[in-house]
Amino acid sequence: MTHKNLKGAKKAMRTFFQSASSRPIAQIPEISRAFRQAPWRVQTQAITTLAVLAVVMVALGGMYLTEASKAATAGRDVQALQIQKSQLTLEVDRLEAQIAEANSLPRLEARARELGYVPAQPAQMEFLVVKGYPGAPTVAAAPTTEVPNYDETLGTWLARWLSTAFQPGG
Amino acid sequence: MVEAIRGRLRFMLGIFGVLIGLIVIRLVSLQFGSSVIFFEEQYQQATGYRVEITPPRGRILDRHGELLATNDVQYAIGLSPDFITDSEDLARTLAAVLTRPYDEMLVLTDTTNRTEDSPKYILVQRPVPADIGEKLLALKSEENGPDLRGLLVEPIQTRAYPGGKSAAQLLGFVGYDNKGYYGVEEFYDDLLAGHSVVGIKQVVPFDVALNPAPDHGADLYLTIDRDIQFVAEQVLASAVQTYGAESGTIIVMEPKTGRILSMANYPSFDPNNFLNEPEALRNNPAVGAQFEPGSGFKILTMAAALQSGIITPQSTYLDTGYIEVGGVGITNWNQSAWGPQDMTGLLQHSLNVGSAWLSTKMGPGTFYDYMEAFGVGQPTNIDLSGEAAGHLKRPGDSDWYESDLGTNSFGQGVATTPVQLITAIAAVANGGAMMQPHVLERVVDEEATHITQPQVLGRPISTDVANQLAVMLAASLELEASKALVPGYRMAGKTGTAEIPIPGGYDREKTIASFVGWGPIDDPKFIVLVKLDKPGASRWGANTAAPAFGELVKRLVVLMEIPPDEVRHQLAAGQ
Repeated sequence: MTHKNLKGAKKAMRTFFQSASSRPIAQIPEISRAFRQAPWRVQTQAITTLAVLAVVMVALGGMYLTEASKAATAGRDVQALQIQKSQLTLEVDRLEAQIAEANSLPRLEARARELGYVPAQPAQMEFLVVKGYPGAPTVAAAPTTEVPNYDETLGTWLARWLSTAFQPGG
Repeated sequence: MVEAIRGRLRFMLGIFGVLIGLIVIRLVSLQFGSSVIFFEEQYQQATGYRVEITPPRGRILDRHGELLATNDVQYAIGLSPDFITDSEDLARTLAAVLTRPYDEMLVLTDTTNRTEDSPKYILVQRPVPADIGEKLLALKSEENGPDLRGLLVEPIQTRAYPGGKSAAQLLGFVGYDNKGYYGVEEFYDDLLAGHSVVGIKQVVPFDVALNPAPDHGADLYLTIDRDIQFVAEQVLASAVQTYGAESGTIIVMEPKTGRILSMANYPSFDPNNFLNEPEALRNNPAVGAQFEPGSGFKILTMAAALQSGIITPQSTYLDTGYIEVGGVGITNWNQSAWGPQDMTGLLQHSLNVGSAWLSTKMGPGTFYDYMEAFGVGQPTNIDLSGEAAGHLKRPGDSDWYESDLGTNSFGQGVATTPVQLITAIAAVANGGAMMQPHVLERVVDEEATHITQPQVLGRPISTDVANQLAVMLAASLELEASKALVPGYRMAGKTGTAEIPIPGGYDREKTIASFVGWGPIDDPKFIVLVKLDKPGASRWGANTAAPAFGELVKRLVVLMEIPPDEVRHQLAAGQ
């Protein structure tokens, strides 16, 4: 390198650094071009992008599979529970019918007779006043007024209206 | 050159863009358009099938919550012949479990002569009890058990009536189509059955979703008292046997509300086994059987006469033992003359001549107007299926004759049903107000409880007339020392003995004996109708239906906790 060249290079460097000091590196086209154009950097970027995409896809696929498998398991559980519910409903029905059968009056009466009971007669009854005991359910009194049938015709309504409309003070 | 290639590329890109756009539009239309339903159905057909989800039928309970009808499980045993692999093993197992002949089973399971047209399903037995069905299911799931491929064991929901024959005609039954027939089951079928929904049974677990829930059938609480029903049936069965009757009916009702406490019929049938029971027994004679009420009808004639003012309780007439109405001679039950009689005597001796005298004195217009006001010849509209209307001829009808005015007054030539008669007479017990008879106390569904309120059907007579007549009837029972009387309790009532109409006249041998009575007369808690058809021991209601009434009331006052009058008055005075 000659002295002249050296001077030129120094000048170029000074100019470069002078201009560079007033701008961000990313806006320095020379440096940015130098990095961008580096082959190893382009390859790294591509590989990284693909890797990230692959990871995201695998994650999404995994999540979908997990959810699908959980949904299928839940579906199977629901099916099993529905069958169990039907069976239990039938079982409850059957047990209720058995209880009702065991509680039927012919059976109870037969058992009571076996135990020596007999139907009570009025003469054997003794009635006492027990405070607070409401007694056998009382019969509700019949309504004393009958709801009249609506049988008014237009003519009778008109006559009634006329008779009341023209009364003094009415 | 480069420009040309770029142009072609843009053209191709445009075409692909348009195609992709069309595909997107089509996809959107498929996803959200009108064809969605079609594809949905196609998908569901491929992955599941429609099922009708039937809710459990509502139960029927008595007024105290005791079960009268509930649901049970039985099984239907069938065969799917295309899947049978060992017909002999299958026949052997079925024969052993169902206790049926092996040869008979082998005919069903044999698949050697099957053709394309052969049925895909063969019913072996339905219903079979739950324990047998479950035994077959257990055998089917045994690893080293018999080869039962092709055997179908399906649970079926059935109706169970724990009381058996008790209240059978009142309750009705449910067929295998899950529909109610006769009685309460038919009348309230809509309420009891609920509403089915259509759901999808998914085969693919991934798609399983909860189906919509059907509306459950409502539980019905009846006005029936199971204990009173049981006792009424016992007394009725005993009376039918004791007096050699063909059949009978007892109704117990609250006169103040119209609530039916018991509706007993004899003979009855077992609704648990309705297929094997005589079909004729399914009808409820208490509401569906028309009969000529006989002398019990005199209560209504007397009520009409008192209300119309043509007589008072003290009025008298001379009973000559014969009266002619419309050219037809009417005599008393014993063909005798009873001399001077007051109105209580008329009722006490059940005098046809006196009764015809009252109706002719009233005249047809007044008499039939009152009978109509009592609901004679009209359905009561009780909430039970199969009610008959009865029949009341009126002047102007083609089949009415002047003589009917006389015979109708003592319950001949007029047809009522037991429930119609007790409803009409209950008006006298209830101070003149006639109440709507009903058997439904309340409806309990998933959302609310609906209570049936008593309803007044009409007021054919005044309270004063009703009270006068009740006292007259009580006195008439006491004077004749009726077998209906129960010591300690003052009751009113009237016997009835009606000849049975046959073509060309009346059967002189057979009668319908009845008794209608209520008590205690100062605070009526019950009214009872006892009707015995064709009693052999005696043709008179006084000797058959009246003692049955007394027998029932003795048990009734205990069940209803009604103290004797004296005790009741003391208790009332002490409180």
